[in-house]
Amino acid sequence: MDRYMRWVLKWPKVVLISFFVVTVLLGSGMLNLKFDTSIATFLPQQDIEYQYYNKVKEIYGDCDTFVILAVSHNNLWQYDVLNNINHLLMDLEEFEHYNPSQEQQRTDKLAQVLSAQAITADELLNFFNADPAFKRLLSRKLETIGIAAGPLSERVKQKLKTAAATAGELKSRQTIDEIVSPFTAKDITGEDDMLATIDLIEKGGNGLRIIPKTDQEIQEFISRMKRNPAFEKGIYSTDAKGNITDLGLIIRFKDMSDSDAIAREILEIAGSYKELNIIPQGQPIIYIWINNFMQNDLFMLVPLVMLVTIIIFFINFKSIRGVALPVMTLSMATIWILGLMGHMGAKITTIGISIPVLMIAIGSSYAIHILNQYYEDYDLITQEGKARGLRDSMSHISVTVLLAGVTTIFSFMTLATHPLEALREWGLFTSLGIVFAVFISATVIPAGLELMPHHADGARFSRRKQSKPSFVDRIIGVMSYLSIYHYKKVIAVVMVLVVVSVFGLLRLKVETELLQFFKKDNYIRTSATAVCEKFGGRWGFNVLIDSGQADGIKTSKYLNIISDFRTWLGSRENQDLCIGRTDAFPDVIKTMHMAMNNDDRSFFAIPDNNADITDYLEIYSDEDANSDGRVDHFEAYVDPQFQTCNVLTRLSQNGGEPLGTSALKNIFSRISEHLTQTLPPGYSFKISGHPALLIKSVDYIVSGQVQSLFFSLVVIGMVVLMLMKNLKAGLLSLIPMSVAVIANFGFMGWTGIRLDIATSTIAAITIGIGVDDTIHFLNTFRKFITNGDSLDLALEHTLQAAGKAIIFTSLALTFGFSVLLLSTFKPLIDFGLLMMLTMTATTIGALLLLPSVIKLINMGHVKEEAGVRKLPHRVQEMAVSP
Amino acid sequence: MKRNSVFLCFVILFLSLPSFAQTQELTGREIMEKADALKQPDSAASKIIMEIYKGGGVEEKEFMLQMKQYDNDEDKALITFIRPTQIKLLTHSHKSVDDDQWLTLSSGKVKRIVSSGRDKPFVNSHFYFEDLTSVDIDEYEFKRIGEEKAVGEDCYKVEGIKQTDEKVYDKVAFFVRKSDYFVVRVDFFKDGAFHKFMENHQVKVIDGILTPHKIKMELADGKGKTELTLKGLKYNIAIDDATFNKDALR
Repeated sequence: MDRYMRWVLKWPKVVLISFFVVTVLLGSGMLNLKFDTSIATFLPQQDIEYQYYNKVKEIYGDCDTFVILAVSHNNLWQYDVLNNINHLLMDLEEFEHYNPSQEQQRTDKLAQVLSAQAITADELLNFFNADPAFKRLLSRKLETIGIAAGPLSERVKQKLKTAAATAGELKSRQTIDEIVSPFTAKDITGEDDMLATIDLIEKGGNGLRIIPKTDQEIQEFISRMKRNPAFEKGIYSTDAKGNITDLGLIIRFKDMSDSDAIAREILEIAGSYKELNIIPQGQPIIYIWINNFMQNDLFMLVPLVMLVTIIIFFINFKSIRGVALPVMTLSMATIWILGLMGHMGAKITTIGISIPVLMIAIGSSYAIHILNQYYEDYDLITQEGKARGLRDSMSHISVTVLLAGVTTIFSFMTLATHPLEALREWGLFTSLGIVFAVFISATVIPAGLELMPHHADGARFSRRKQSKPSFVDRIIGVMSYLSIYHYKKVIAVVMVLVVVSVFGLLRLKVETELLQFFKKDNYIRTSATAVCEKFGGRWGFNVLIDSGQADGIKTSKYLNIISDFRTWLGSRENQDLCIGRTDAFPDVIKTMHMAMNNDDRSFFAIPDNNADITDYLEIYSDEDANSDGRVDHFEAYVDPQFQTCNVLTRLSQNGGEPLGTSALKNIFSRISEHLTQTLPPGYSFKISGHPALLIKSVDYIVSGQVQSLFFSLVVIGMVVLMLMKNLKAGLLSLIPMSVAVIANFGFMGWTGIRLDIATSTIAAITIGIGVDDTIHFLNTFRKFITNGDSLDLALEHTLQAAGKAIIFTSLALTFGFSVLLLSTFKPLIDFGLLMMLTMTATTIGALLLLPSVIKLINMGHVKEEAGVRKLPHRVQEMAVSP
Repeated sequence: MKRNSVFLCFVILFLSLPSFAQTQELTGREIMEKADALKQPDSAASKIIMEIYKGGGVEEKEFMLQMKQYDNDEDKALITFIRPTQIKLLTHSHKSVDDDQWLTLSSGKVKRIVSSGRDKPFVNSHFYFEDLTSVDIDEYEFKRIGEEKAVGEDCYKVEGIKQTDEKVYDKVAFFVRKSDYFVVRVDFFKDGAFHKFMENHQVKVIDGILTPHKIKMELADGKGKTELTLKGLKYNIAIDDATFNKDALR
């Protein structure tokens, strides 16, 4: 380290320029950063249930993850309104049916039109009058880009090209599997001994839908919708009088493992129809809103956190360098890690958003410790000469920072074993971030100090030590007094706190359903409630009932079992199951049966005769694009062998409250119990889908948390043991962190803050910061003990030397993170609150509990009388001074 | 232009005539006119085995086909399923208006089918109802695009671009055997892409009529196919008109 510091201090300008260059190079990667709001990375991908979920998706499509657009208008039954809804649908269909040659023609034409020197937006759009869907896409993109009056600038042209190309690429993925709507639905009718397959909205010879214009045509359209009972709450919803108030566009997907892009496109399309009242809902939409919320608040509040932290730094250090160097360090560390993520193509997940926050917390801790050492050694540096003094001072503290960094890195690396990919990635990138933070702070700060004059600020800070004790000095005085004279009481109080926290821990609730975090009047909640009331639910799951044999579902017995099950799910006595709607294969047979019986509604039932079912399936001819043996329309409901039926079950809410994971667990348990009791021998069932995985991910969050905490503590203990070659030190290092973690969970339990994906990182952050403080304390303590101080004096000196930096960091970050309490987003408020608690807990752990335990076990092996003789006057003086 | 029965096409998907020695190069239209002029039967009856290859499995269906041509250029056909169902499908094909179709379920219930949809598969096979109608050559603009081997035979390759919106396929490529103008293969293009192809195999002359005994319709991506095998085919036999009466379905 000494040799490295010599080199840094010899070439400070080269070092700083190099670091700035690296920052610029890595920082450019931030432009490539993408957010990934999809849930796949939060799901237990190695789990057998997850694999089954994927298998179900392969067979039935991604049918439990859908988006609903509830569309209404004050004058819904007007041609213009219906035509607008049709345009909305056509815009969505662009992402369902991909026509490569058409897209190529569009791209070529756009490039050609944009090559004109001066073209306004209107002129551009007029070139695409013959292609209204693409014209609307361009119009949307122009609105998103934001254009000024007059000709389009080159920048706008380029952005438009990119946006159109991105949309084209998205279309080519054909993520949308099917859009169920009143405009695309088909029905079978059988009045007057005829049998006809009808489109609810007929198509013309050109394949375009003929939107009803006259009152009579519109009434016929309404009648067609209402004729089939399966359509209610499926493609339309009604008011109490039975009048249709909303039309539903239900968008199903092929694979939503990467849902972000298509969900954002859907929102953009829906948002462009301002004249329609559209409520978008569904899990992919929720995740986007949550992330938008989080990102907006973070982009607004994180700089504010930094500002408050800087102010506290300035108040503490009263010097420009005391602010500039830590800020430079943590900014560089943040830019490096985010830039590297961008260059590597890694995406920022919901949890990854906390990385800048973590960099602020841990990065500033390293910087403050180094800077604090400089101020501590100020007089020494003055005496020895800047070159030698700075080298000695920086070499010593850099070793400490390195030790702290190594243990923190190891601690975060333990997340590599976490079963959830998002947490594994988070552990990896935060570890790398800490490597950067250590490297940058141990290099940039010494180099910066070398270039700055060794007077003025430093002298002022140094002089301050001689004058009246500061607030921080007083805190340290109290800590010293308590840990040296009342260490047993301290330990007793902490033990009581631990017991109280353990009881709180038992009350801790784990939650992965994020909707619960929003206030009731938040649009996310109100729209979810509205869609649940109108369409029976905003998300769902699959109940797969296996008949045990191929073609087993083509029997009256089986189909009646499915029908009875669906009736049970929706029955009044099972309202607490919160099943708002089910869709299943028997509806097809019931519809056919009704049509074969002159549209008599009493025949909307399963026929008694198996031969009728076979006949219906023979004559129900429709496209089977992938030739898997099922009509495309059946794919969400039956497997290719016609052995297993998928009951698509839509989840509503519980009295307007979103369902949490514990409620979901109860629902699945009730359904499982019912099916176990009622299914005949030979039949079996499985429940799959997104809610089922959320339940599973709860288990993994808990087990992963316990596992990573355990590994962290073991690794930290071993690292400290090896570094300090002292078993007691290894064990001691665990105490403050363990207490802080238990206090954190206890606080969460007592205050009702749930353990979720985001808050589950708090424990890791606690350990990360706690281990830094502990190592700084222990390393400094070792130095004083080695220098011949008695135990008490060594504790006092350690608290003065390391304690100041720890308290500075803690105060700065506690005030800094208090800014997050201003957020409107509850998870961020919780995060801020827990960070404040963590800062306080780790500070108390390192500065009060740790020295108390050292004192209790007499770690310094120094006789007490020797210590008593040397110390009391200053400690007592500080403790009693007002 | 002559319009052929939906179900006649099972038996003779494309008509044949003895070949003529050509001294000058024929246009695409002329080649197709020769194919269209091939001899066809007045009536036919056959058992047909339909094997549908989908999703790694094969589903077998069996039905009897009876058809009769009438003087007014209309024809009637009755399909009687033997397995897996016992439905019957009666079709009266007309020259210039939509076909009339009736369906009888296994239970004996009869329904008139109003619209089947030309782009819909026939009993979940790879044949669309459109494929079961013969080609009215006025509905396409033909262009001879070369010569190519198909089903092991030297053929003219003629491309047909649809002239009416009602056709399911944008483009069709016919492989017409040079020796006798019998169509041995057809490539179908839909939504701008090669969609599927049909091949006629085991072509034999029955009562002077060129007749494929195995017809294969396969998807372009190879994901599935349907094969039709004709058993006990007879042409120009006496079939009572009452067979095609809708009241006889009950």
